[in-house]
Amino acid sequence: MTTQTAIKANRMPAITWHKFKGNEAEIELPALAAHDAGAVAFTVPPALMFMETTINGDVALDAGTAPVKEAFDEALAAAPEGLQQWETGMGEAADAWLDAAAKRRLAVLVPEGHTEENTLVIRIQAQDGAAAVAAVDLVAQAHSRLKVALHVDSPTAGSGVAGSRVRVFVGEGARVEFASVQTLDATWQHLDNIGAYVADSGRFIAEQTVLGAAESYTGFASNVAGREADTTVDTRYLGHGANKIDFNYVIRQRGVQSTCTLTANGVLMDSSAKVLRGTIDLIHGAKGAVGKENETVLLVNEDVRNKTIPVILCDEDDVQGAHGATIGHVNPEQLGYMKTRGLSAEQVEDLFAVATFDYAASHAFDASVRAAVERLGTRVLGDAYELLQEGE
Amino acid sequence: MADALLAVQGLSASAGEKAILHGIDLEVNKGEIHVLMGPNGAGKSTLGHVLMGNPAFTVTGGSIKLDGADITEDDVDKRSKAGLFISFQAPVEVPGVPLNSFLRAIVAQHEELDLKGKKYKKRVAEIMAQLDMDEAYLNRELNVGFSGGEKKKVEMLQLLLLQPKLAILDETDSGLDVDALNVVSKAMAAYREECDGTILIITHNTRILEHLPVDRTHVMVKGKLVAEGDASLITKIDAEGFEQFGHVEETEVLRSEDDPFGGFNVEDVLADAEAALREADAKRASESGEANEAGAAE
Repeated sequence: MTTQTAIKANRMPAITWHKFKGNEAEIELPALAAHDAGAVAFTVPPALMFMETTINGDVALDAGTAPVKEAFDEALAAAPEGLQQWETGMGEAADAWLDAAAKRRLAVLVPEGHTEENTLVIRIQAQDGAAAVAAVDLVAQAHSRLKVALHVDSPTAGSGVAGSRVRVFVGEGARVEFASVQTLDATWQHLDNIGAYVADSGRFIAEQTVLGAAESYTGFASNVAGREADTTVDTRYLGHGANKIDFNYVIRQRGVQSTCTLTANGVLMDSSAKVLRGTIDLIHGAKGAVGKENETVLLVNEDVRNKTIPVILCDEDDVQGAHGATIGHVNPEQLGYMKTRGLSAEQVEDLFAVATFDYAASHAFDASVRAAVERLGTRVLGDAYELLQEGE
Repeated sequence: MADALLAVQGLSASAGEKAILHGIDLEVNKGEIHVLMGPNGAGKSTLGHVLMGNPAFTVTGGSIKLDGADITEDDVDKRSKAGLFISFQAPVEVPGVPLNSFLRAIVAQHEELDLKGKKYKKRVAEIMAQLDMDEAYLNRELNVGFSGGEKKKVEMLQLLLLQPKLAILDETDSGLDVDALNVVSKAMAAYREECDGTILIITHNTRILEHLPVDRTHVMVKGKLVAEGDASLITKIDAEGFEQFGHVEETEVLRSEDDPFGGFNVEDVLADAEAALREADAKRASESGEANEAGAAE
């Protein structure tokens, strides 16, 4: 059970003028019941060790429980600035709220050198009047591989909050691929809070797709601490109706020759509003580090509101930081090309909205996600989407 | 000719104030293959784009008829729906739009194809097999990260899917290796076989023409059609070059000659046009200022 509250979240590390109203998000959260057993489900691939907390607070044990705990302790020791003061993108207040609301917890250990490409699946289904929240901690030990798929959906009508707090430790030479898709209908709030630590030569690759919800808040922080460590983020979003989308990316590049690529592509329709704060912090000592970010926003209607706030912080001489943004209508070359195939300018812009759903559907990690994307696509775009899907 | 599929009469066009095409007369009958050749910068690609309705150019005279209908004033998308197609030298990349979404959307605009749902999927699969393309391409973003050869295959995929009345193939062979060239040649043959397609090939390379039954060859120099003949003209050009048609070295090059695609670049042309417009504006402002000053003096 949570009480009605208002929290500030997604605050930029280096704030700008308050009059722009973009430094942080203010989230009004209603009083909500705790979710029941069906709201959060985990599917852990074989050979991974995990600890799972059931809805009743019991700890479901598997054979690897003790090693998981030991591994987390080791990770804490190996990454003092990472785990003990774990920075997440949404910030402390949201982190605490999510932590309190989470009734299902999962801790997973990928053993050293484990490279089987099975996917850990996390499903969160919104429940009317409840906070459906999962808290997940992942440790990928040295030279291991892990794929994670997170789906936040609202299969039934109602209102409430659905979301997650995920912390990821990427060990030396390890690679974690994290793909999330959010397909909430327009009556829900979505909170998505991620914190990562990336050790030497580790790679954390995140693909985030935000398609729905009345309000969607994504906070993403990565401590790219190791030498030649990397964090790559590819975000896609669609604003429609009157929904609000709020992103905060904070990439701390501490590692020598560490790299970061932050890419976002979005379409804003109707009277939707979106803020994307992208901060790449090139910290003293990160010699040879390269951080770049780029956002492309297609504004379909005149009533949309877009704020793109790229920030490169730099306290090291020998680094490269770059940012770019393209905001507006379809560029003339693309428009010209597509018109030669029979599409009008209006149809080209509509195509970008359809394509956002299509891309998510075609890259969905299973049939249920694809079905959820198509359900939402049909609700948002109506016949235009349904007819195109006909017979598929 | 009354039954010409494409009838171009006295067509002149400019980019800004810069005249590029001068009084072009061209007729292409249904089912024929025509070749438009000429040195770099002659205006070949410009003609292709003017026929397609590229708004970078202004038609300053003449007319374009497709299948008897005057399309000179029509917008680009309307010309496509009327049955005109152009394949691009360097197709643009469109992040955010999977190839499959794009193909479905363009097919939906050509209702006469009646390709919905399963029919669409079946047809796309057939064509991709013809072109030796993996269906995984469908989920990739349109042309993003595609090699030059892959992009040309996507152009051919669209050609075979849309089955236009007339296909303008603009330097489709440029930058292709032998294998890719064979695939493109096969696609052109399939287009002709499946829908009695009509083709206007723009090229300055005769290799792609080796296995095609060319009906007519046209030569363009400095924005004018300076010669016309049957397929034997290609052999003559191969042997003697374009110099036989005039002072080629003076041909106005609209694009850097070291560009492998050669012959056309909208940005260059627009830049020239914008410069000309700025010059004209400045001149007008100067004249207006002089007039005002003169008025004030009075």
